[in-house]
Parts: sequence; structure tokens; C-alpha cells
Amino acid sequence: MNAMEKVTRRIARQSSRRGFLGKLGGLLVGAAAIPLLPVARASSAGPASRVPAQSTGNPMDPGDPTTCDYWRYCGIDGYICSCCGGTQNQCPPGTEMSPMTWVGTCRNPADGKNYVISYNDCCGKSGCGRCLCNRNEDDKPVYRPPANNDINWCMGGSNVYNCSTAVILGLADA
Amino acid sequence: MKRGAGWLLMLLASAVSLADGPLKPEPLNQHTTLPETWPDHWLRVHDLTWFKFLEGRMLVIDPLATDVAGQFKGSMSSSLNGAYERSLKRNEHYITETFWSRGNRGGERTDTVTIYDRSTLKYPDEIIIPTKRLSGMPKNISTAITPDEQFLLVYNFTPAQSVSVVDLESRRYVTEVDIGGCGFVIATGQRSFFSLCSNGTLRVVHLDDTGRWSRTQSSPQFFDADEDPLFERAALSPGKAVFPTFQGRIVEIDTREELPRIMKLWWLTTAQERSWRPAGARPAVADASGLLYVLMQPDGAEGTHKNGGSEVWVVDQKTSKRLSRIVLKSWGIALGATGKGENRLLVVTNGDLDLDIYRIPEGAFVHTLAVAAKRRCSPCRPTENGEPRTCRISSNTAVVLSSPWVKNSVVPWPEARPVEVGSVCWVVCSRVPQLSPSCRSHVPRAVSPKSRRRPRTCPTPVTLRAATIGAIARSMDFSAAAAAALQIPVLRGRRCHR
Repeated sequence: MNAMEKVTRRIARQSSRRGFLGKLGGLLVGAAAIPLLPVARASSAGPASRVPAQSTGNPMDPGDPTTCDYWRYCGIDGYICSCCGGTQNQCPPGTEMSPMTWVGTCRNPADGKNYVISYNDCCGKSGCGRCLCNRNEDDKPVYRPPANNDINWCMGGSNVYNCSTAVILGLADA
Repeated sequence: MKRGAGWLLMLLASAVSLADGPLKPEPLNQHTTLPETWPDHWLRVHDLTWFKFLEGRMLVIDPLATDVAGQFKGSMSSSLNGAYERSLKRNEHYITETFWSRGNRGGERTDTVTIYDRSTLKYPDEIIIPTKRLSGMPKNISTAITPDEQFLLVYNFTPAQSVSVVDLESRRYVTEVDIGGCGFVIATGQRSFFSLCSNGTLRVVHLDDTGRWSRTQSSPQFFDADEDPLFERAALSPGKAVFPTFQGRIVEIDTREELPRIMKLWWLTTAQERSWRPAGARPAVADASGLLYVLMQPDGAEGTHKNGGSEVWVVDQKTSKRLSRIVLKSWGIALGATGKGENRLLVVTNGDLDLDIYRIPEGAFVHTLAVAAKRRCSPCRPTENGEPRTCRISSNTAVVLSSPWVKNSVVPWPEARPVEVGSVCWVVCSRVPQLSPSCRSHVPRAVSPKSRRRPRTCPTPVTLRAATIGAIARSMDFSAAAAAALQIPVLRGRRCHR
């Protein structure tokens, strides 16, 4: 039982929402996507599964790109391309990157700066099905398209959705 | 003596059976049908089939039936997040959907309005429309039907935003109307619709009697799409559209006239209750009596608007007062309402993507329905001929597990939650891209009594609540929203040891 699960279970025992939170522990450990519990989010830095931790190899880009709590994924909704043959900023072989997309702003814990992240979908093959991740920081309704993650952005070319990337466009505060 | 009596009874029973003769041949090509008029409390449920979007379907469900056969009345196909409307006048259902000529690798796209007969659920016809309909998570305002049921309106996003107008009487596509800067369609009056705009206004489009554009109007700005946007899921009832906002206000819009009127904009919560916020894939519905039900989360904050909630607040729209709070049995992620009079029901899609039924307005829990295509199979029981069922472990990378260990295990992992896909029983073991070594250790390697022992610690598969959010479908008129099948859920579990 890792730290996050311990925290979640402790809260569950103390909470009137015991039933939900008790079950939520499994979800948060696995998906770490839904920030229902700030304490759970804060404690999710450790390895969240039995998968050997992966890394970008860059200390300035910390975290595991195959997990939902990787810092760039603060507004993502879809299958993580790092789990599908691609990387956090590259599509898997044989797919096409959507030219249109939505963007979010995520804080990099390494330098404390906010970055504009482009969540380009990869298209042309059936849904990857791995590592579904849904986080909605700064997400807005569809009538604010550039800030909405419910839209299938595989449009125009190969229209079938495969997975989603999180590409750094630049500093948000620059 | 007793043994003799037993034999006698068996012989008598055999004699009765033989007297009836063998079973008679049955006619082929027989089909059930549904009644022309459905009971008020039946549901139309959108099963999005999250991992197989092209295989979505709309289910017809009797939420009060106590057995599975009675609950599941039938289904209609709904390819790629279809949208549902109906006409009582013509006794038809309309599902706006998308097809690809090469299936899961694309090809030529075709969008249709597929027409289904209400009683037979057959599709006698379809209307080809421009290949522009919004592709994304379903919303209950991505299509609309005019109150006279003459025109179907389809929201397009390419990302240019427009509306396709379809004449349902003549079954033909009419025209496309530009709504740039705005999204969705809510019918108002007899020949008009409005859309929600990113600048915080409503765009009102009036059509003529042929369905073509007549004129456009805009409302003054009345909300901030960045600070406190309206959900793009509305509680619709005749003559009214109600939208919660992310922070907890309620916007009521009168849709009886051609020009919609913003009636009220008020806080659902008191100043002390601001941490309670509406949330979910469909956070508000109105029942047949006009009461409003809002799904509320206790710890609302930025980014939590799709999470769902633990309570449903019952609101009198006339007085803008909260009447009661229904504490849900399970965390809810979408609402639906059905029924009339004393037989009104609240339908809550819960975190397991099942439907919890409550009587309203009192909020008494009735039961839970499991209708989505995520059926849990009995834990890997052997097939009828004694052969072990093919079982696969892990979320994605399958490991075939077919062994007497499974065959002889009544419950391999008591906490496991297998899901049945076709004839295969999946036991979700890991969310990870590949089967982890520790998980693989669950696969028995030898057929021996020892190997049949339950592992000391087992994975705890949990159904995918993250998909919850994304996977939920729109619900229809007086129906429940249900979510997709969760065939390969996310998961993880405790570390599993041998």
C-alpha cells in the first residue's frame, strides 16, 4: 500500500463518506486523475502502481509521463500517448497529430513556472484504450472551444481518435 | 419404504411428462415489439460503450422492473456518441450518428439522422446530413427538435460552429445556419433556437416555415464564460431551460416564445455553502412536476465540475428555494428524471456506471440497475461442458488464463470485478500498459490444490471512475444518463504477492 492509498484510506475511515472514499482509494491510486481530495493529490507524488516508474530523463521535466498525475496532464482528457507507443509530446507510429487542439496552463513543479500545454490528439487508429486520464483544470464548456477537453480534435484528416499528447508551447507568463 | 415412495413419485412424474409429449417445433423469425405508447417511467439510456465508440447504443429500460428480462426492453444503435431526439406525433426516434467507411481507421465519413420506429425499433429510413456534427462527449443540447416536431437541429463543430436543419416531415436536410462564436441548440418558440456564446450572451436564430434562416438576435451579456460558465448540459422541460453554473448559480430561461427570456439568475447555495457546487456529466434535471434536481459535490473547486457529487438538492423553481437534500447511496455522476404524478423517479448514474433509482421528491432509494455493456460475469466459472472459461487478466495486454485453477475456483478473487466481453471474462488487474510481473504472478502455473489457493493479497480491480466523467452519455428527454461500458477499466490494486 503506497502513501497515497494510506492517506486515502485514513480519510475514508474518518469520513462520513466512507463508502465512496474507500472505493476512491483504488481509483486515485490508479488514475490519480480526479482531484476530489486535495490531500490525495498532494500525496500522489510517489509511484502509483506496480509499474516501474518512468521518467522523462530531464530533472526540469519531472514525473512519470505514463501516469495521470504527470504535471503536464492538468487538463488532459483521453488515453495518454506515452502508454500507446508515443511519448508525452509525440504520437505513436502510424498516427497523425491533429493540427487543431485545446490548450491548458500547467505549473511545472521543477521551476514553479506556468506553461502553456497543447493537448494534441493523435488520430488514424482506433482508441488506444490504455492509461485513460481525465483532469479538468481550467477546462471550460465546449462553447469556449480552445479550453475544452470534451471535443474530439481528430477532425479534418484522420478522424479516428487514438490518444492524446501534452506538448509544451511555451511559458504562460512570458 | 421411503425409497419406494420416491421411485413411485419419479415414475408418476415421468408419466406426466411423457403424456405431454416432446416439445413442439417453434416458428422462426419471431420478434418481440414494444407498445405504441410506452409507460411514462420507461427510460431511454445512452450506453456510450466507452472503449468502442462506434458500437454505442440507446437502451430502452423499465427502471421499476425487478428482473433483468423485465428491465431491458430493447436498444437502438448509436454510432460514435450519437444524439437522441423523439417525435410523439410521428411515433419515431431520431439518432444523429457518424459512420466511417473503414471503421476504426477512418475513411469516408457519413453523418446520418437515423429514424427508428417506436414500436418495432426498426430503422425504416435515414437522412444524410453534412459531416459536421460535433464529435466529442455527448451533451443533451447538441441536438434539439422544434416544439411542433417539424425540424431537427444538429449542432456542428468543425471547428467552425453552425447548425444543420433537418425537415423531419419530408425527411430531408434543409440548410446550414452559422452560429460562429456560439455553441449548441436549444429550441425556443415554434421556429427558433438559441445557442450559448463564449462572450456570455445567447445567440437567437429564427427560422422561416421552410426551416431556412430568417434573422438572428443576441441577448445582452449575462454570464462570464471564463469565471463562472454555464454548464453545457441543461435541465429541459416544456417551456423552460435551466442551466447550473460551475460555481453554483442557477439560470432559468423561458423558452415559450420565439425570443427566449432570461427569467432568473440566483445562487443555489448560501454564502456559507459555497464549497458545494453542481458537478457531473449531467448535473441538473427537472421532473414532471417542475421541481429541479441538482447533483452537488461538497468540495467544489477549479477543475472539479465533472466529478459528480454525493447529494442531490431538490429545488422549487417557483420560489427558488431548496426543499430538501437527498444523500445519495453512491457517488453520482449524472442525473435523469422520469415518470409522472406519484410515480416519479430520479435516476442517478453512479460511479460504477450503474443506475441508482430513487423515488422523488422524497428521495427513497428503490434499487440499482446494471444495464450498460459492462456486465459483470460470474467470476470465471467453467463453461457448461466443464471446460474452463477463457479468462484474461489485465486491462489491456491480455494474458490468457485458462486453467483448472479458475475452473475450480468459485471466487478467484472475492474483490475482483470481472467484466464479460462476448464469451471472455476479463478480470481487470492493472491499469498499466503492460501486465506487471506481480500481477502475472496470479496466473497459476500448475494444476494442483496448492495452486488453487487464493493469493494472499489480490489486486482490487476498480471500475473506471475516470471514464465516468468522460464516458457518460447524454441522457434523453425524461431519461437517465448512463455511461459507457467499462470494459477495460482503469485500475490498479494493492501490490499482489504470490
